[in-house]
Amino acid sequence: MNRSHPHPVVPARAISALLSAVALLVTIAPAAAAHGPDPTLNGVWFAQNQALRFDWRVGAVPPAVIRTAITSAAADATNSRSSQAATIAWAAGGPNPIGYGSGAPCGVNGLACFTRSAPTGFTMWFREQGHRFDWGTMQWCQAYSSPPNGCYDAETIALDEFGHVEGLDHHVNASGDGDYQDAVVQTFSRTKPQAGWNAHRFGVCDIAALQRAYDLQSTSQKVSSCLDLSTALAIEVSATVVGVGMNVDITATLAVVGVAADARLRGDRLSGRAITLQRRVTGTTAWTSIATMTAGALGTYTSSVKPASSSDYRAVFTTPATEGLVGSSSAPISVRVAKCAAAPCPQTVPIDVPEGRS
Amino acid sequence: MTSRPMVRRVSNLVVIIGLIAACGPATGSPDPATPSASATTPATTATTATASLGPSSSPSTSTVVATPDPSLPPDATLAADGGDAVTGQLGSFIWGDGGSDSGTLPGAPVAVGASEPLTIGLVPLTGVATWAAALTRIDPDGTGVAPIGIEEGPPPMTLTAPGAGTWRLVVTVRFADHAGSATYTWRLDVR
Repeated sequence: MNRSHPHPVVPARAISALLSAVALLVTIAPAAAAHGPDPTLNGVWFAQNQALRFDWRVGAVPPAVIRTAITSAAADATNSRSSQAATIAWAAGGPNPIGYGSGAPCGVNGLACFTRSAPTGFTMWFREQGHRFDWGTMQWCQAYSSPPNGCYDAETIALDEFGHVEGLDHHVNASGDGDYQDAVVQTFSRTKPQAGWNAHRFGVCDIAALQRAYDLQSTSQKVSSCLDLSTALAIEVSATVVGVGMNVDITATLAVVGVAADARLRGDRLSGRAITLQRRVTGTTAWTSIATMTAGALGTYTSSVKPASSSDYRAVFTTPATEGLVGSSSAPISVRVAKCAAAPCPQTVPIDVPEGRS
Repeated sequence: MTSRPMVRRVSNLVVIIGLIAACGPATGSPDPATPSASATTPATTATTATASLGPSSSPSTSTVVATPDPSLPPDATLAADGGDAVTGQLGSFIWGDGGSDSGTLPGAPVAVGASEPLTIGLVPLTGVATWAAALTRIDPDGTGVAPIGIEEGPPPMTLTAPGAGTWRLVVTVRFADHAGSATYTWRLDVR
């Protein structure tokens, strides 16, 4: 996933074309480079981890190599969904039919098509090898021992269709399509040997939409880098006033904040991330990192400290490079070290604390 | 979902085919960099089909839960100022409870003048939430360069023709009321 979307190398003719277009279209506002999670269909979803099973349509069963490709694509969808989206697999008698052949009702130019009626099921069709469009001939790569350039990979096309079944609309690419490989569910399917012609995993922006719709599989699952979710860190300590040499247990909790579109993710605890504990002497401003907190269950992170002087503590989550989370810091929390006037000092109530206060 | 008479679709197809035939070769993508299905079946001599890929007639125990009949979104027409409207090639779309995926299409040919105002319409008239247009310059050798987004936003769907040359214009429409989306392609021969 290219989060920063640097400009690709553009050939001279592209620059020429660009200049020509810009010069002649000065009255038209430049297009925004839209890029983000795939849009979604009608907002009606399958149940989390719902098992969708398909079988071949009576009288329109695909040939073996296409069946293999479609079955593999179902496994690709299930294995790369990185969310609690529905699982998809072939099963004898599966209620969702997939057909192949001249009866495919895919419009004039469609390679494959689908219907979905979540949460009930779906249907799917694939054009037959050799189908004559008015612009060319259908070539499935799987039909050849040495697939020619210009063929479509049936596994990729099927994965695209399964993405639709899950509820994904076509990805909106950035201008120039430099982010094409961030999604398999594309408006324009590509042929060999174009980049992305044989994608066998959902792209990060497909996954982003699936995670929004179906939630993460676990608190430790990586958030798609096509998302940009705000996070929040809460912090608490086992005692706010301690004697010298006493342990203080500090617990931080990391969770997704997100926006409305992330409703399913909002509030999710995030485990297994790197959380740093920072300290500053009370009354100063400079923070010092003193420990990497130990990751626990359900998005908790712990450390134990023995403050020698009164200090403020905070937990810090740095924006990770490999997933779609925005770093955050907890509010500071103060731990006062009460000096002991004379040994032996009490372990729970420092003697310089007036009775009735703690 | 509205289902319209097939005759209109056939009529449109005839128009498109006619226009393509009138304007030159229409088989296959003219753009090797973005090839679609091959019109000329360019399998090399080293390439051999490994299997007959006709539909198998082997029995299945599947139970049909619905007839996959993704009805079609509206046609889109492109008209230059004072010119006849040309129906674009329908590519990938989402419509109703279904959808279809296509490759890059060569586009319905239409001749326009440089900088001429162009208007895109939908037949039947359908509400539009947003639309986007992208131009790809098609070189004389048939290759294209990366598409350039030129317009994006709410209606009206109007734009200005680019400079002289051959261009592929792809318009993506997202319909109002979450009715779906569709792409339409034209080949602009700009004088």
